[in-house]
Amino acid sequence: MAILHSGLNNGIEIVNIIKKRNSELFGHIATEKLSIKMIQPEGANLIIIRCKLEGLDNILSTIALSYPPLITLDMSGTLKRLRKRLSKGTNKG
Amino acid sequence: MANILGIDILGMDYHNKVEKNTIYRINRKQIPRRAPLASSLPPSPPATVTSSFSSSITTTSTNTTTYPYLVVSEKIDELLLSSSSIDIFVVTAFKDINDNLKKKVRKKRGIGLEVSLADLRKSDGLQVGKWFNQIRDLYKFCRSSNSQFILSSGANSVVEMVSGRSFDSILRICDIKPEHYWRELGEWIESKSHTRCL
Repeated sequence: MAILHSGLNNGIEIVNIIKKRNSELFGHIATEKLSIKMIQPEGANLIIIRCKLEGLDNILSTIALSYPPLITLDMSGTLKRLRKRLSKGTNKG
Repeated sequence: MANILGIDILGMDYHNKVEKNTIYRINRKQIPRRAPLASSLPPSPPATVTSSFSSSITTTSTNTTTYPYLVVSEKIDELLLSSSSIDIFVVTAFKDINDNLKKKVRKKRGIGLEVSLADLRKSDGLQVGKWFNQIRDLYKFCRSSNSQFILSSGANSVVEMVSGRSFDSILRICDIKPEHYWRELGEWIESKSHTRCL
């Protein structure tokens, strides 16, 4: 999942913000089950994270309700395809 | 950016610049007045939109707008005025959705009730949990009163935008089927534009 942020926080901080918010909304156990992990930062304000598919709705709503604001730019089952889609999107927009 | 996020049409404030695939949000004071057409139409103070729901803009007279728009208000007083031409009422506090307001909304059939995510971001988990429950109730009320439920990002900047897929997830958590929601919203916007075009 590719997440766009303001650039004020680093990747680890962003993942912590998401985990904290997800725990608030859906509980600590659900958050742990999701196994949210940062794969790698992509530039100054984009990070790629991974999580389990089961809690996708929860994590997407968590990201939309996080502060500082975060945007889910795109998601994919594989890192390779996600990067491809991101580069396509960047070229379009 | 909207394309990347899976959003077809944006709703935003009008800043004297017309963009494609955008419906502008204006308040009551900004309602443009339409100049009477030379032949048939009587002079009518209420607002009109001269373009269709699609992005193609077709305008004619000097006083008509060159952009599609909806009238938005968050003031209950304006909603209660029988002469008001409000299309969307922004629900800022759920305590305002009392019986009196519900009666007024029922009378103003087809009005949109908008809820924004922007302020919710700063709320704590407890408040957000309550909000989800209130949204369920509001959606049920909208269905029963023939008004349109609108979930909005309330974004003031690009970073505050919400992707279409995230909207779907929030709707699902509120027990709202996203496909129903988007279809109804599309039809509602289209009907509003058509009404304005008459």
